[in-house]
Amino acid sequence: MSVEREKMAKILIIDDQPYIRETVSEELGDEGYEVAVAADVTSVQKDLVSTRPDLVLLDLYLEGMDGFKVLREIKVREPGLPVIIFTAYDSYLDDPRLARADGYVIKSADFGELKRKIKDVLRQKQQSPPKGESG
Amino acid sequence: MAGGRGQRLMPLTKRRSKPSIPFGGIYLLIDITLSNCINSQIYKIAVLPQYKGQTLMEHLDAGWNIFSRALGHYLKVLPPQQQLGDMWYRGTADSIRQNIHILNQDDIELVLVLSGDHVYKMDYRLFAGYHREKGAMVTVGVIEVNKKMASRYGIIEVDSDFRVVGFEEKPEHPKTLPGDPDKSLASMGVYLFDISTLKDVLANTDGMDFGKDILPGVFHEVPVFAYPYKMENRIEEIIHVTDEATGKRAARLIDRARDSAYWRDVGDLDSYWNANMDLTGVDPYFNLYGQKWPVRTFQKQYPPAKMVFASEAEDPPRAGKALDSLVSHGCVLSGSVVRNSVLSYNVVVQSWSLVEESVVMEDVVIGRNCRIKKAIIANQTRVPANTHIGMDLSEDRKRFTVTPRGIVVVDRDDFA
Repeated sequence: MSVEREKMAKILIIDDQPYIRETVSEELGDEGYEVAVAADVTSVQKDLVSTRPDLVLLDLYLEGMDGFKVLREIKVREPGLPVIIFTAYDSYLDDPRLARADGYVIKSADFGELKRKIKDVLRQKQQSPPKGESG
Repeated sequence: MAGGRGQRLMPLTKRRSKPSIPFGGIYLLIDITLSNCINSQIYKIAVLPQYKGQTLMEHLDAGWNIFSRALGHYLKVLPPQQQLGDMWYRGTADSIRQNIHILNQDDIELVLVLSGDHVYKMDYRLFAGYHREKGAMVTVGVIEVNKKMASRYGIIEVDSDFRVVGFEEKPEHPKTLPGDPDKSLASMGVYLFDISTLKDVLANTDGMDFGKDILPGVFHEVPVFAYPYKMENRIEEIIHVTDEATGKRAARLIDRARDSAYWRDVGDLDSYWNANMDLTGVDPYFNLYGQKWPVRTFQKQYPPAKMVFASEAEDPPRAGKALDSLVSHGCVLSGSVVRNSVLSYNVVVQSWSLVEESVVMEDVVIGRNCRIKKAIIANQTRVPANTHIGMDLSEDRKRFTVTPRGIVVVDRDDFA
């Protein structure tokens, strides 16, 4: 994967709530990121191919498929693609099923933590070879 | 156990105290802690209610009038009597100070101080065993929390023997565990005192709260130990396993159920919502369906939950169903779908509505064609047809309470 400048990274937001997709897109767009969104999890495979994201923000509760499965699928297809879990639940902070995720951010009206985590994860990704690291 | 005002749980605490907030469909929060007591064979209990105690008193009278005075067992409800002045209870320690006389009535050695708004299954016998083994005067239940959550709690520092050597209340930069910079030790607000120490502390200090005022001083004076709950607590349970080949379901006793390590302080709306969500699913974080550690309550009389209309083929489908959810007695899902939710008694969800990831309290009617996601709907709310909740938070913020995590809280007054 080509090394892009951090600000230009492309982020795919997978969330079934339109409001979350819109507000997070706006927030991250303002930071200079390129943003793509997906609501329908059956299309993740297609979206990964068509959008070629540098990072995925993944909600855990998704209609029709759970986020754990989506995470597994992404990490099988693209082991080097960082995934940050972005959820309203704190129950899964230490869930072993999420061990391969690169970060866990609890949804909040303040996007500061999310932005910091994205920055950190993208920086780590640039520094290390594409391999499923955990953070 | 005292019941706090619960400002961070508004509007749920508009009309009731924290321990009497409904939980898990048919329970009140206090049922969890009281069940822990009787499952731990503790039969001398004093409840110290504070604000808006009516619902709590009625519930305890209806559901917990089960103790035999003849055997020396009791559950006493002790609202503020203003015996020592004209004040209400000003904190956990103050509530006990004002009722210190009851501790003189029996031959009591150890006093367990609990909170009526925690969700956990704790065997207090193991806690007391640890306290005696350590030669402690005070033992505090502690839990490892992710550093992210640590600033909400009292953070405790221990030596290698788990003796308490430091205490900070809700620190901005919490001390982390040696060897694990992501974790801190938080006080659960569960304390065990030798009675002599408790009396001394209450007599010699004027601190109102154990966590805030008393513990930070007392560990210099007497041995205070931390009880690592996640490691030590052990609830055995019977689980049922179905053999894939034969289809036979067999019971198996396991010596430590997964929720032995579960603990949650339901102090704000987000954690309240999350604790309810933890009850749903195939293998929930907190299991209400165990046999060895029953949670009791006062069960109200309602007919069985009913799911009607089976017209899946209609367009749009009109089929009543609940998936990954808890549905209490009296509920009617009439051509509507409920998913990942907890419904209390007597909830009606009308046709073509969809309710997801929500907590719905007693006597709520959700009209036709509603779309509700990540919401808490307080009792007796009438949600009009075609209402959307949790779909557009900027709209929701104009009418309802929306939490930091985006949970929308709806009260009956919102649609009045």
